[in-house]
Amino acid sequence: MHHHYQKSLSYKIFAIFNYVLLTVIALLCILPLIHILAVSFSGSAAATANLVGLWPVDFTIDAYEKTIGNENFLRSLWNSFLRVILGTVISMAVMLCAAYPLSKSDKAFHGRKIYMWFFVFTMLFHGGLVPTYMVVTKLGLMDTIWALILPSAVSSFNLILLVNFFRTSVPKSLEEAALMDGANHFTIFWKIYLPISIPAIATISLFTMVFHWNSWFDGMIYMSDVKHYPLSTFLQTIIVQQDFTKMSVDAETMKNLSERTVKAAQIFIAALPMLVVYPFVQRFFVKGIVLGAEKE
Amino acid sequence: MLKKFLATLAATALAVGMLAGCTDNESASSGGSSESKDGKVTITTVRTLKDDTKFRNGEDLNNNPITRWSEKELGIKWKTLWTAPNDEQYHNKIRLALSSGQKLPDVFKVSDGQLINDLIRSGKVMPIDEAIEKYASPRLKEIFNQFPEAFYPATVDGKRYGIPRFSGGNGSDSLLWIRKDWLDKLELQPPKTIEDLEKIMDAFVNKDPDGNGKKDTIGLTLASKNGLATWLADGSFIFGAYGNYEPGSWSKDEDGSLVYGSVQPSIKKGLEKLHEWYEKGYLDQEVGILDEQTAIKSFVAGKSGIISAPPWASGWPITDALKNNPGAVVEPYPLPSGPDGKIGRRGEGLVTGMFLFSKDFKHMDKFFEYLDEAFAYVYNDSKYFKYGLAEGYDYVMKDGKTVYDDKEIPGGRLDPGTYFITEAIPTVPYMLYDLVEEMYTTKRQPKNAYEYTRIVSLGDSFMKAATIVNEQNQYRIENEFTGPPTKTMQKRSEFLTKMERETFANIIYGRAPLSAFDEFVKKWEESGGKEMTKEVNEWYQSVKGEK
Amino acid sequence: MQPAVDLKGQTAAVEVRKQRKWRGTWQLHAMLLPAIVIVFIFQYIPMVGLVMAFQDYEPWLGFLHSPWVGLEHFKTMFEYEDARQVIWNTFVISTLKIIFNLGVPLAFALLLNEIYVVKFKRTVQTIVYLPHFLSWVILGGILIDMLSPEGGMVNRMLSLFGMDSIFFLGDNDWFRTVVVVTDVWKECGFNTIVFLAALTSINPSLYEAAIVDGANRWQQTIYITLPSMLPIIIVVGTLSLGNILNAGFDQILNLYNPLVYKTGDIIDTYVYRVGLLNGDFSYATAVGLFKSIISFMLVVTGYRLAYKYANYKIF
Repeated sequence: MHHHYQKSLSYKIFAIFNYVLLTVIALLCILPLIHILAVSFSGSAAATANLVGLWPVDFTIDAYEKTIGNENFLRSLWNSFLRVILGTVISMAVMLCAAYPLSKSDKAFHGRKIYMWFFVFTMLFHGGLVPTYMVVTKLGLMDTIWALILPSAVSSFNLILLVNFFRTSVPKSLEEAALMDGANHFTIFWKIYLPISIPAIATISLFTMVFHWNSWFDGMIYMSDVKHYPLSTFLQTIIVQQDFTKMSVDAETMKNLSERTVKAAQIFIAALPMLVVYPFVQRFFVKGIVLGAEKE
Repeated sequence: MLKKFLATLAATALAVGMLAGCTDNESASSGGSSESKDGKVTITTVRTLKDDTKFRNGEDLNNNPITRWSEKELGIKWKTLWTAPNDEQYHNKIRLALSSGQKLPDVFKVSDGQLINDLIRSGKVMPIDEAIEKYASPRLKEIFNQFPEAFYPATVDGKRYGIPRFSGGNGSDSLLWIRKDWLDKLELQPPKTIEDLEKIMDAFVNKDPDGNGKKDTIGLTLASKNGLATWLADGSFIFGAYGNYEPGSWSKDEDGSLVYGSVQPSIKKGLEKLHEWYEKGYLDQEVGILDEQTAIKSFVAGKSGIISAPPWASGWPITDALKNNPGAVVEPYPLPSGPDGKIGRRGEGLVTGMFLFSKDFKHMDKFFEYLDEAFAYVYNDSKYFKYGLAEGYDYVMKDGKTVYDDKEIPGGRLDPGTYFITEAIPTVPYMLYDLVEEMYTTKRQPKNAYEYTRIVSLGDSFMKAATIVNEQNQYRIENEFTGPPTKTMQKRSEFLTKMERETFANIIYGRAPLSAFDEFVKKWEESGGKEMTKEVNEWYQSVKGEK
Repeated sequence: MQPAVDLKGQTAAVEVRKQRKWRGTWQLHAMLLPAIVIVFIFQYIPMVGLVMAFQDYEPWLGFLHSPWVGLEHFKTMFEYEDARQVIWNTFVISTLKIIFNLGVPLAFALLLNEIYVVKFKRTVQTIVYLPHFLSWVILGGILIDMLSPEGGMVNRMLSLFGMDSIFFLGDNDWFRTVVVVTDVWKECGFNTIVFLAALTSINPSLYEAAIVDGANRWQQTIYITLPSMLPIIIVVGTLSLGNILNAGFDQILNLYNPLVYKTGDIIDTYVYRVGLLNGDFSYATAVGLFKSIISFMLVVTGYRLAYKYANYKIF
């Protein structure tokens, strides 16, 4: 991958500057994280006093033991995996199907405009918590994983992104040719749109995964049984700041008060699976380039 | 297929449209209390379940020593329908259940004043005056009569709807914790007055008490982000030294009516002091942005010499301070007095929630029986819990003797008290610290697991501190307004509180002159404060009137 | 040089042919059905709840029986003494966030695109994406430490350059800057992904042609990369207009304090404080509806402008 412009002096200066800049930015992003990692392995006394820098003080794995040792931890981890996989698959299937017709021109698909605004509207107007809760209850979804998956299955924001990716990355000529050969919409969607749009699909899938992985509020509202909590909801129960003015506070409560080390440990536990998934998704960005090269 | 689908859709739409809160008929079979053939009663409930509540061997809220005891001895089967990890989410779920017309559990605790009021007005919970009269044991009646004001949060039109879950009464009242090693090093005496305290703070700031050659220490650790009178790193003693009022609290005026603390002239004196102390470097430079849990870092790191905190602070955060600063000695001291000899501190409220009862609940007798047995344990008068709540949990028998030590119990000590519907071994206000004072002064041995876990195991420093707090009980300034937000409060209180916090912070930081306080008071009165005061007193009369 | 996208530029002849061919667009409708159904059930039916904004909603009475109050809640909102301050703060903070959350990730994606050491590129990409996973509850605590005027990391660095220490979180001159910078820091990696995905779909033959024409890298960026990415930039930009009244509730809630109410208090934190007091949904719904209407108008305007000036239809 060497191009002639890379040989020019000005580009070389730029390249050096670029590497330095990106390294600095990366450091800025990772140093606080290293700090948190150090805190998570520190004794809680030192952490409370803010004495931990980038290296643990009074090394201990108590915080991890406390989180992972909880019997609900593994169960919630499983719930989260299930939610992410099922949620992403369903969400992507529904949205990709919808994005295809919406990416047509107004002339090619009458009614497209109405459909589109139907979705755009929901991006900005929301019924709110109470009525949504009622719908979920009435449909009998309470305490089931569907309560976490179906209400958020269609994200208008992601749908619009997909539509635009479809429009910009699929060459019209290819589609025309397929039509000439007598292909129907399902075939074009399956054989042309999907393979070409892999970077876009990877991107939106990633967004959807992250969304499902991070959401905690719906788990809290719709799950009756703690055993059905997804991980983020479970973690939230530990992280959350308690309002002690209305609680009966005694020595026992305070002794168990989970503090900064536990919070810090949770960040890593929560971020770890995404750390594995993301580099994997990045592969598809490169693949997309190769595919794009073949497309004309 | 499509038709069927559309039909379902329409039905759903209709159903939601009809959700007018009048659909009470659903799930009548699942939620309601019922008596089974063997004469046992099932009572449904919901509760908060903090994550650190531990269970043994896969037990849960519906199956543990307490529920087993309750079923076997009292014939009550408890069924916990759902849990939430903290009060905010718990109230959220109850509010949603109320809004969507779901059936309420038989018994449940609520600590949010507005929600209690909403539930009462919805007619879905029932008044219990008669039930108390009929079923409450003499012991319970005596406790209830001792603290009539504990019923105020759930009293409407003279009827009582809730049973209070009592706090420790003075359990989270503060006293001073001071670095004794710093006092000794600088040859200072513990403070008796605010003036003494200022001298000590000055020395702590300027005379390098930690001996590191740097001027990096402060006098007093204080939290102010959520108000200056609070549960940890508390500043209420400063205001208490100048008058009988605390910021943010409604307390009795000389004529017996309730007035709002933050607008009283004595608060101005407190703020003046705080500004002076800030200027002199006695306080954390960041004091304005620190909440309770972030404020303590200066003390824990050994950069601060004084913190005002409750007795339980001996466990946390003070042990952390000792761990970080080898050689440090932290001792509890009584609160200092102001120029006129006045002392005052924020007094913790009497209740931490009210138990409400679904209007369909038929077994109040059983509930009171259960509650009485739980209280019996605290009074050391239980026929079921002689040494503790459950062997193998909070005590074990060894060679005919009871052992409470954490290390002796296989799997560690667990507190089955958290499995009670009260979410902890129930308390009666002031009782715990009375007991501590008695045990501390007489040095007697614990009689049961309760006395061991709640008192002796916490150590000498805790017992000394609790004794000091108990001895200063006459200086408590309690928030006497425990009802739901009044009409004007709902409309104006947000603005007034914001203005208050902003003004106080700016005065402390010297960004506004002290006279800003007078403008604040004037504006407070004009912008709804007057109406609020009137409404609060109307409420006060109405709840007091009956009993 | 023609960008890769040209949506209006299809010839009439093609259209006619297509219409003949594509008669019976039932397949297209069918593909939309699942999404329509889900959105209708979970988004549109709950919109019944918006009537709460015009009611004094009592939970046990429901939407049908709660008393109507008309525009009362909206009036309350504008009569609020600090309404101007709160709306202005929201607007300033969110506008700055919209600008920087568009510009920084774009620049970042372009810079990353110039890196040819794949490992370095992927590592940087992954690292900058990590802060997205930190919740503001946790970050709040860390930032208070880092920005502390007494020995915080940032102030220690400033003192190396001989500067006085700054009380970032308690200073009205600095608070908004802190809010915007930390938000960009947290979200930059995430937004970069969209632009990177767009970059990968640019047709390489365009570059080859440009190289033949002797264009240097800078010229290629200006004449090929940016125009090719324009649709996605417009889309992301327009959609983010919908956030014009969302200044970031979680973030502000965890960072603000009485010292910086003047510059940091926003609509959402205000509504939160009101809600804490009376726990009723009506007022929050009314404010939410007001925000939705403003956002909707802005998004529609953005959509129109994009169509008019860039000749591009977002939706």
